[in-house]
Amino acid sequence: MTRTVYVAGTGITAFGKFATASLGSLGREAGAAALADAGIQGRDIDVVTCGCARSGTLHGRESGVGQYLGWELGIEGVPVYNEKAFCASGAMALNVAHLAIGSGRHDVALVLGVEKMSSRGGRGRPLTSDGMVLEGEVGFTPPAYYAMAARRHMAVYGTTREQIAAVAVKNRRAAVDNPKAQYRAPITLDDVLDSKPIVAPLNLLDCCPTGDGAAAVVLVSEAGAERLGIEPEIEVAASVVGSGYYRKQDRDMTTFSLDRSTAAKAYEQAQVAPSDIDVAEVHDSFSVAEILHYEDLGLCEPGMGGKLVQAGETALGGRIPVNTGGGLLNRGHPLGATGVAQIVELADQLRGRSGTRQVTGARTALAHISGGFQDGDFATSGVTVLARRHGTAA
Amino acid sequence: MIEVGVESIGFSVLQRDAEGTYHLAASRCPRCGDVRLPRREHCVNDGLACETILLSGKGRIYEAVLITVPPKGFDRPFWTGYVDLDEGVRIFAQIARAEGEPPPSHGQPVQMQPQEIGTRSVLAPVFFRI
Ligand SMILES: [Zn+2]
Repeated sequence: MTRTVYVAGTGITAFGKFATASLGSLGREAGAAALADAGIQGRDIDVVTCGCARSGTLHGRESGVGQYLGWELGIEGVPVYNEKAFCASGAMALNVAHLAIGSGRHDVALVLGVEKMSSRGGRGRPLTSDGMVLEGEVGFTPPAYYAMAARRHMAVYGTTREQIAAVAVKNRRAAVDNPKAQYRAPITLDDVLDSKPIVAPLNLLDCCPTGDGAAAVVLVSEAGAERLGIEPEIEVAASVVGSGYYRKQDRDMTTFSLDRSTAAKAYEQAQVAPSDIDVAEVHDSFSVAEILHYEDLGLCEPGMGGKLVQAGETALGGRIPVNTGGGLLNRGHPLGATGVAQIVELADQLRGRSGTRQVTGARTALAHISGGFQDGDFATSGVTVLARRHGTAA
Repeated sequence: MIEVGVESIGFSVLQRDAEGTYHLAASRCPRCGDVRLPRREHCVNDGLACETILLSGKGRIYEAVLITVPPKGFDRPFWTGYVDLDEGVRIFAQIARAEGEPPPSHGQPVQMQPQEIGTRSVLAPVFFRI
């Protein structure tokens, strides 16, 4: 990467199930908020990238969501890249914008992530099952995958059901303070353990809901910031995505080698270590997933993820707070929006704008997301590192 | 009867031998020996055309879970999981649990027998503890 890329502004809608919202209204609201936050106009945008995974299935708009949302914001005549990468679609859109600016091709990018899932027709296939259609014929569902991982982790490392449920309780506690989150009423360990069984050991409150929402980020180069007369406070220190490892078939489900690979590349690119991370957004599509991801991201040793959350180290006030906005479990998971929403949450933390859920003095932040399946492994993993620029105060 | 694979990937993962017995039909690379299920036309390692082989159906459970909320096409809870087959292939399939039998768990040896599953009676590989 030849040039440094900065976050100049962010915007996000409330996440939830909104009967009257459309892809256009959601994307416009988030995009306009990001432009206003950056102090710029739609006509200042050189390039648009857009993550949206299910617009075709649910709304009959397979391609061109980025053009649609761009035009809602008055943007025309620029390159638009539409990214479909399952749950990681938003992270992929951010990565493409990072490439576009870092390479020197463009100076001001608008990254959009959007999904409208509450109006999906019928019950359909599980939403992340594109690479699992054969397995779907015999009853595969995403929670079954994570339930298997949970059982392996419990058997190999002694991780307990209570430790797994503690992730859901912790993330709900964080969501109480996030007005954009879908679920905000506090819950207890017993609430999780007594909720409806889905695939043992996972119950309903261990699984993220879907929903509607959008998030947007403006990325700029130094030259772009100069042209616009703005001084962005946050640097994108690393943006790494990768596909899975499909050659090995008898894979160990207590660790995801793909995430280990993207995390290692991101730490290398950002020139930081896991111990430098002050706050993180981690893909908690299921409570147990967050525990596995702690380990694969190097936030703790292999097998220690359950103890990490149980000890409160990943809660607000802990050593490394994770999912300070409530995570996918409470924001809900409108697939394309999630990866960008993570960046919005972390940018707020680094700019000292998180109010009652602020991580004091946060300077370095990490976002992780994994998306979809292919040949029994994940289709995509994305890791982003953000850093507050030296000399800027929170 | 619909066989598993036909509607999702365009061909059945099951195939009958000369005696009419169903087996899982996998691919094997003539050079590196890589075995894949569902079968591949070409080896990812060598690009060579693969041959079809019929698997023994024997393997061990890697992990198994009870799906309590049945997805579309199923009307009651069922056990399912990953089975590591003797030929080196991992397959996601349903696992039978007879009345009084302990729950399926990691490491148990199993044997495949095709069964009709779900509300649409699709013929699918199901694994039984041996
Ligand atoms: Zn080969």
